[in-house]
Amino acid sequence: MNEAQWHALDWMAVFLYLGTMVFVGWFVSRKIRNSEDYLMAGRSLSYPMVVATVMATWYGSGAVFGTAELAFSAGIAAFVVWCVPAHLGRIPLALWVAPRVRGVKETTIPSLLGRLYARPVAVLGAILIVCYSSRLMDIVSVGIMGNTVTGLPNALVGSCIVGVVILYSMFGGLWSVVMTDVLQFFLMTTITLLLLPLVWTQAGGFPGISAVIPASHFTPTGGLPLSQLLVFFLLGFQVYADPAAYQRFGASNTAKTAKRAYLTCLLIWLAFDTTMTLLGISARAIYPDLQGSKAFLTLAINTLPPFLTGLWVCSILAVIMSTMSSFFLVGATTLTCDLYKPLFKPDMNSNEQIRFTRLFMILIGCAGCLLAFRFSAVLDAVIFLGGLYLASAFVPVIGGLFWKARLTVAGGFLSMLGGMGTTFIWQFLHNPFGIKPMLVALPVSFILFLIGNQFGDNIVRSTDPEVQ
Amino acid sequence: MDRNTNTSTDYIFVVCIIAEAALITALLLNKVNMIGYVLPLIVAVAAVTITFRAIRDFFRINR
Repeated sequence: MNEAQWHALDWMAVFLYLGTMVFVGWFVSRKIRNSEDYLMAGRSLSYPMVVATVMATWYGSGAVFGTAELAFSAGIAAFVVWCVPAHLGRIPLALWVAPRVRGVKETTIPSLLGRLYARPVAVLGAILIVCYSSRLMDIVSVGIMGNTVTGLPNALVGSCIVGVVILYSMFGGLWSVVMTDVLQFFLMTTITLLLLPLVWTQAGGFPGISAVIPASHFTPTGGLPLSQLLVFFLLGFQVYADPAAYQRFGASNTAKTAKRAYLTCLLIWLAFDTTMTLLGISARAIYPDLQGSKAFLTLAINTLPPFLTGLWVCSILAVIMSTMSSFFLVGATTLTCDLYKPLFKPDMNSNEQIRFTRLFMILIGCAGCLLAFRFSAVLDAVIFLGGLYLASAFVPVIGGLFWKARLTVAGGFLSMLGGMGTTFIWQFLHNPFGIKPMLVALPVSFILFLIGNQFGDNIVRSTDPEVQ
Repeated sequence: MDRNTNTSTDYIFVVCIIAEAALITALLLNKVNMIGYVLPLIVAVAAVTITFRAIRDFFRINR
């Protein structure tokens, strides 16, 4: 695959897509009246809107390329041991967490942590969320993909895409992000998936693929070790502390909308993951000598005609850009409402909140590009800090919302510090016994949550939706 | 006021999710070829419906 196969018509498709995103972002911004419209879309998102935006946001480069690559190397196990447990494990999130989050008045996870525990817990959570929201891996992925298909430098492609994402997101805040997500959801689920029948025919379906790839690719576990399977299962629970998901639950027009929309997403995700798995094993059959994601890209570009190739690349861009825009907004909102406002400017008005959120969005995007392409030594550290957030926030957030017994500031603070500390130590020891940090950090965080709750004053809570 | 209660419709959703996961797993393990053609089509139809309803809702909300 090289730039010679990249046609002028493909460029046209890409520019058309990027131009449409900017236009939609601008058009939607004309409806913004106040900061609640800008940050929470007026808490009026309907069921189809929440389905589209949750679906588009949660699927980033990792989910698409990760599933296809795992299918390339391990076969249908990518679906059976990764996707199925992860999605089934999210059912409680839809049934109980989504309506509960819709019921509380806070708009961000740090503000929720601040009310449940204390300001230091909120500040710690906010700093980690900003790192988590920088989406450095998505920026790197989009650069690599752009370089692979067009031959342009990684940094140039990555910076241009980040520029477009910031432009359309800062126009109308969450409304712009949601409505561009709707179009991106359409693109990713139609163009990406409609590639499969073409590729399936080319590979000869299951009979043709079975003849050329190992038989282990058709076993439920694909020969993967048990510890790896456990990590896959736990990774599925990351979304329980995902700030973008919480923002969308909070922006839904009712608790029922948040719940039903997420359940619908699970139905669509299962089907979407299946097609990614089938594309991955088809790529293995057709290009056995190429590396996973490269084979996946080559497959698409050599299968589709000009313009449709461009549209397919746009559909992958849509997957990545929708995630980036949501997290840039989450990061900027966190910086504005959970760090800058409480620490430096408590009397900030609605217009100032919008202005600062826009400014922080630009800063997060610029810092992301610099870190991703110029200071690669810092890249791993920021990605590590982002991962750290999930290990440290899961127990305090879910515990704060649902723990019926005694709850204290010490419990929240200790569990957060315990999750962080364990992750640091485990990483420093280079993952003893091959066990990933999260497998150790989550139980430690929970144990410290239980111990910490025995000390200090009991917190009087009013998080119940019925109370709000 | 939002109430945190699950209705029978919610549990029907849950049953559908589990059934879908079991069905797709069975189809993959038994190498049923049609899955490569039918599944993308079903998702595409659902996606088109959701997209148009979302756009319609946006204009209704912001009239």
